[in-house]
Amino acid sequence: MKRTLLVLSVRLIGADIQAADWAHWRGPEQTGVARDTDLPDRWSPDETKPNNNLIWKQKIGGRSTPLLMDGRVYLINRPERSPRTRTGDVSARRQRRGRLGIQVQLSSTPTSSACGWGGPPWGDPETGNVYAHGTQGLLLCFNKDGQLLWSRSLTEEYGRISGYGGRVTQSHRGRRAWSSSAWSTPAGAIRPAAAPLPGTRQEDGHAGVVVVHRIAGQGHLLFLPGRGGHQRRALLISGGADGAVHAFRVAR
Amino acid sequence: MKKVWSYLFGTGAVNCSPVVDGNRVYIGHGEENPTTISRAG
Repeated sequence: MKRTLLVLSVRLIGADIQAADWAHWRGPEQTGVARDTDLPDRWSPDETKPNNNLIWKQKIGGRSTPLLMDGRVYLINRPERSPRTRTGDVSARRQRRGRLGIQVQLSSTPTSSACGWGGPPWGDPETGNVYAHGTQGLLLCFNKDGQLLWSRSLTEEYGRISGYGGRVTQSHRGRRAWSSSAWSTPAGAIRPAAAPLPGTRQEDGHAGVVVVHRIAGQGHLLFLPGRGGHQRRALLISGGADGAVHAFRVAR
Repeated sequence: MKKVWSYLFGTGAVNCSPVVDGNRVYIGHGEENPTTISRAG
């Protein structure tokens, strides 16, 4: 059965609170640590309670970790669990505060519960672009308004077989924007080539690239929105399917 | 990319994401330790 990958954006126009961007599912520094202080020590979504701290809510739920960037929330979800969906195109529309603003649907064939397993979306706060790795094997780049800037097939270009059955780990590569996902590959099928991608941030004349590596049958995707001089000595550190943790030099 | 170092510490796939603090890497696994005979709980 054909299903759909959905990228949503919720515009928080005039929201009552301001919060730091959370452009990666592991937090601003990709460490799983929030440096914010004075966080609430209670949490209640029940609007009937006098002491609840709910500001808004939407009927959107799923496995995807939401991102917060420039007042918008981005997440991946199954369309049948979201209101107001369209099929087969990219649509954007203005909505009132706290309502759905952008919905993008893309054909996919995951199992019903696997949507979002391909990898949570991640954002580049400097450009506002949002990237997603769908369970259908597409690496996608959207601008902040939900317009698709480009897509690449990891199956056709990098030998991906499947991804939704594998867990998504996030490798460590410092505090710069990047992401990594795991998928199954045949031996030797991964091409380590990296090609510049249009619409990505330029740093020192370098466009964004996709780099892949393979460890004992488990492929990892590394996406670099830009490649400046500060990245030349950076390491990619990630667990592998062979039971080891590996460190790679990122620079070409 | 060129591999700089590796450290074998599990007998199955490592699904955990690492955390790096300075020159220390923190990462876990959900299988057996290769150097022990005990079963993971």
